[in-house]
Amino acid sequence: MTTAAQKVTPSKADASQDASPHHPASETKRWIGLGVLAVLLVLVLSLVLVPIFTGAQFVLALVAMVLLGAILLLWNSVRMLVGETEVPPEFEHVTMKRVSAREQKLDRKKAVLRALKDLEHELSIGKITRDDYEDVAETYRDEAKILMKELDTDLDAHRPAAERMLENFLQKMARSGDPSDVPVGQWQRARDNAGEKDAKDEDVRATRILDPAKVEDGRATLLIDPAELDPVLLASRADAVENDGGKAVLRVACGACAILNDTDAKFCKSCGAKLAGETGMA
Amino acid sequence: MWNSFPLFGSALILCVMLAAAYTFAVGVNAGSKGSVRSLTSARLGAYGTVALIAVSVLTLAYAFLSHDFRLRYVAQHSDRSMPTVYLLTALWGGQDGSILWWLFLLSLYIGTCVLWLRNKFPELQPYVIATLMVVVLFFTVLMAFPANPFATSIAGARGDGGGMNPLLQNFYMIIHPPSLYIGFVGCSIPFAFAVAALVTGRLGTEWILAIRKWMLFAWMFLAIGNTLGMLWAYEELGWGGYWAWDPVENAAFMPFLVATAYLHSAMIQERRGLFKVWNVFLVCLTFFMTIFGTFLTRSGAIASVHSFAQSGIGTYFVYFLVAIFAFCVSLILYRWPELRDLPPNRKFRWAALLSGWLVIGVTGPGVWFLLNNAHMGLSMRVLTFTAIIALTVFVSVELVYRRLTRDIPRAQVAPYIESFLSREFTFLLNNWALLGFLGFVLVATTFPMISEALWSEKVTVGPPYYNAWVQPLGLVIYVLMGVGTLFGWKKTSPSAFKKACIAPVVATVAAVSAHLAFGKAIGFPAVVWGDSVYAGTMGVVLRAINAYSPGLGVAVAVFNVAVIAQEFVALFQARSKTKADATPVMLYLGICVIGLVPAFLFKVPAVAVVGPVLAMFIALVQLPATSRRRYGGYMVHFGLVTMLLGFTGQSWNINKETSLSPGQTFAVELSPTSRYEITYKGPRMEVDAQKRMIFADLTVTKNGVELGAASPAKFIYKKNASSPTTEVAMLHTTRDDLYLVVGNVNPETKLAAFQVHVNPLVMLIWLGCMLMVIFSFVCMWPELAPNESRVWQFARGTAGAAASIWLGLVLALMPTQAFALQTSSLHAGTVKIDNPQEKEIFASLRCMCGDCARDPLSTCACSQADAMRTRIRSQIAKGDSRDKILESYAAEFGTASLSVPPDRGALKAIYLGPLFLIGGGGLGLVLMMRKWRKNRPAEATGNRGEKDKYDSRLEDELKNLDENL
Repeated sequence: MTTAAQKVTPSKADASQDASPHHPASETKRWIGLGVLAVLLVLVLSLVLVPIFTGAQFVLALVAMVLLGAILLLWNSVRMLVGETEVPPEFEHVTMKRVSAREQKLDRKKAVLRALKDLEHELSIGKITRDDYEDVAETYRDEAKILMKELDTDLDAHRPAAERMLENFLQKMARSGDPSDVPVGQWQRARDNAGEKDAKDEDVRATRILDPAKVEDGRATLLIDPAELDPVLLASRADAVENDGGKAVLRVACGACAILNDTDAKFCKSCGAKLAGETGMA
Repeated sequence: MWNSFPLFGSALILCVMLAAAYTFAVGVNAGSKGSVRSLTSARLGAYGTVALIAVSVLTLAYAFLSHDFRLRYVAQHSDRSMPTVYLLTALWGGQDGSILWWLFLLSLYIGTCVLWLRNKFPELQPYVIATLMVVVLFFTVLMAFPANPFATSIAGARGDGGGMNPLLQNFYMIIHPPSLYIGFVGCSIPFAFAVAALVTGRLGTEWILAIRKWMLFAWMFLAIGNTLGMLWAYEELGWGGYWAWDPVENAAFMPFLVATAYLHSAMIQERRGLFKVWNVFLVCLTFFMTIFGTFLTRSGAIASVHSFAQSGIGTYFVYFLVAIFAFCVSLILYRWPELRDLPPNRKFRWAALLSGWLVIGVTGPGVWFLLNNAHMGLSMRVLTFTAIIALTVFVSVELVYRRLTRDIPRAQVAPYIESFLSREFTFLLNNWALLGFLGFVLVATTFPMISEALWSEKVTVGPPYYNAWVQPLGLVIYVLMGVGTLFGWKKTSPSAFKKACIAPVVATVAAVSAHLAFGKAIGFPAVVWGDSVYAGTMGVVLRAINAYSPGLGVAVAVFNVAVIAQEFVALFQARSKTKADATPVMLYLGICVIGLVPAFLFKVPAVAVVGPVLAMFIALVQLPATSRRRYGGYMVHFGLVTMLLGFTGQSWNINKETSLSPGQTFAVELSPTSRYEITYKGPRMEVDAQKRMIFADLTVTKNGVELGAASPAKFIYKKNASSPTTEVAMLHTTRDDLYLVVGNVNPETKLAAFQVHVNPLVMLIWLGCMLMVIFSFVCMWPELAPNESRVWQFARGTAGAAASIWLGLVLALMPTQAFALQTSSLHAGTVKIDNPQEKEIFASLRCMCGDCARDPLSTCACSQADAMRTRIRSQIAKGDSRDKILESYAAEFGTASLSVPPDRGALKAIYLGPLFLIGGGGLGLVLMMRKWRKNRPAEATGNRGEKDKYDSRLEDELKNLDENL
């Protein structure tokens, strides 16, 4: 059995994905490329220069090369400062926020969760009796729940704006006809930009907005209740939804863990489960 | 171009200065305007600065390799006969070059840190870069003015250079200074993050988590650097000891103590959000201590075997220290509301800033005036001033805040702990003990300056003083280490605590009983009475404590080992219950048993530790990140305990002197049943182009089993025939090291004089350090993100773990190449000591020839020391008491000629001051905890235990917590 999503030809999506500098794979490739280049350079230097020059001359050659590198770096720094070059892709979405009350609450919540986890561990290795554990843990659980409620309440003010954004986005998808031409928004790209711990939870939730299996005839269906979405996330990324020139990248949702994978993936990149559509594609 | 090569080097230093200043400005701009473009520009600027520093170092390396003696530094520290490896080590062999090397290591840290940061911590990043650039600027200013390694000799280029000090031409010179520098310089990164957190007000756990591995890395290298220094002293300096409490050794040890305290207290902030002021203070203090340590080494303020040539560089350091102090105080005052979890309104901020600076403004001139009248040097005045003012500011701001915030609800819950029986409290005790120890070492190190300034009396604080006091203080830290491990976070149930105590206490009692019963029989008695450092009651008390310290040391070590073993057993039991650990126990046991094979094969029992270490690796790698840190930390404790046993071994040292004719045998009794037999076969002379070498060939047997041959020697260099050097022969075993020194060899009778030292358990010190290094890496293993691709996660995890294991092993085994050598050069010469009474008196007196830094008569080989020893021997022969001899020596040469300041009058401040501080700190800690104990959070108890929809969300978040850390 094949689903609609699995029937979508991956050419366009993959092309845009490969071209995207945000994709972890392209990032990895870039670093590997640089690493290989560095190793090759050292090998060439060792093999070619050392037999020709004495130790001192070899060091002098290194001085020249590193000096050249230093000049290039500083020159690029000045060009970047005056706006002659583009900000690197991984910094495009970086924002510098002032510390907020919400952030402090999140910090506190993390500490309380850590406390509960520690207590669980202490109980398991016999450092605290069950009665004492329940007594202390109850206090922390209550504090954690109060913090969670406060954090939720803080979001209420942003909820209408977020819902408007979502509606706008879905309408755009519906108008487009070809799902691969639809601007997909920053959250989708943020999901691809793996490695950002802070954005991770939000990104995972955001990617579940779309069910690729149900993107048919330019219509998308929401998988989750909009109330579950983080309105701050959506509101803060509103500009990207409107203006971003990126293309929609289709993904296959894993049946086991719901993480989105490339359309030509055979196994889930997160849990390793065989993707349902694999047999169909074959 | 070649004619202007020195100018090129100097110009490079100025370019680095310019690049750093530019990067600093761009970084501050990025932070203040929130400009991502400026941030990326600052990052490139930082890389560019790093590259320029690398160019400077390479340029100096080229000057060494091409023997460019136009450069003063090159001419002073190298010659044409030096091999390439020592030409390169000369980079850090002198003052000017070592500052450039310091800067180079800092640049490597900066490059790695900026690369690691990428787009993480965008708010902190600009200020991290800016702070690091200020440190770079300071070092470039040093090099541009008082310590330029590219400065030319006024007299022009010489035909050949002066060469490197022969004492520095060995393997340790290659590895010891860089290791220690890596530790010192590494403290700059946590400091930069602390400053960034203070500037931005982001004082939560973000920066604490960011610097965790950086601090651990720096801490580890401080440990490695200090241990390599010990090893070097032990093998090369010829007195058979490893730690002389030299001011420079102390300067390297003090940041280690502060960093250790921080690594523990940071865990409390991570979990409870407490101790924000304390953690910021500790990180700033660690950095301050590294700069202070460098100042001590470079300024020549205190006599030391490590001191570089005197120069004006010390003044620059003092001003930098004052600048760090003023900057950190201002920032901390500005952020006082946030640090105390109060609303950050303008009123509080101004109250802190005004009260703080008002106190400085009002009391500062008065304190400065008083210090001026105390006839202190500038450096001492500034240091004392900063200490007094810092304390006054803290107390006054705290009092103002208490008044202001009496009725104001706190932004978050007030500081609160559930129980004294908790890990939090023991971590605080640990901080108290470590900082108390630091205070003790700091006062003793600077006491010569304090005494001269306040009482115009010159004193010397030598190893006997430290050895007498450090043992009880160190044992307290070790006891706290063991007891603290028994507690859990938040609260430990009294019944559980009692249960947890049973096995370790039983093991300890059994070990103490066995030690008392059999210790003497194996040559390790539990009680060893030594000499008293003081004449009065204090001397009697200290002597008694130190007499029992071998037994106490073993007891504390056994207690700690039992506690750690019990923790692992509890962990494995818990994991097997939840089926979290799929590895069969038999695998661990099998690995331990297989590990015994090489120990039997090579007949070195210490090798048996390989199996358990490997098994522990396998076990630790399977733990979640947070548990790995906890149990990896326990294994670091195990390394420290192993080192404690090694230190305790010093109590059982055996030192003998003898003269032997060829064919004669000398026996050294280790215990009633064990002995070394050293047979002298005869002298042997060899000659090469540079020197004559006179060897004394010996064979050594232990209980009838031949251990091998040893050939201690005298080398007589043609260039310096009047000062022959001594080559020590060493035989290392797990139980002890046999250290053989040959004195005079009569060419006619072939009679040779020998010194024989047996140093028990020394190998455990090096083994303990290796364990510490290896398991520190376990604590630094990469934490894997849950949603990244499994394949990528596996590859990254495996690569990270493999790299860290490899690096850990390389670092841990680094000194073995040098340690494995059977001989080492004893450039200091030898001192003949006939009996323990002589040794004790000579150790209490300092050579006053003026050239020997602080050498006691027991090790100084100069001619004046020889004359003094002869005189003292005649006094002993006349029947003069120890006190009388010391008194007459002090009357002739002054109080500074004694290794221990006399226990009289104001000089008692050397121990009363630190003891008062330690006692006061302990009392303050208990009072604070009692107050915190009462601060039970009110809001959280409102609807206690009520179930709602958030319970399931809480469970989900708890489930994913470890993965997200």
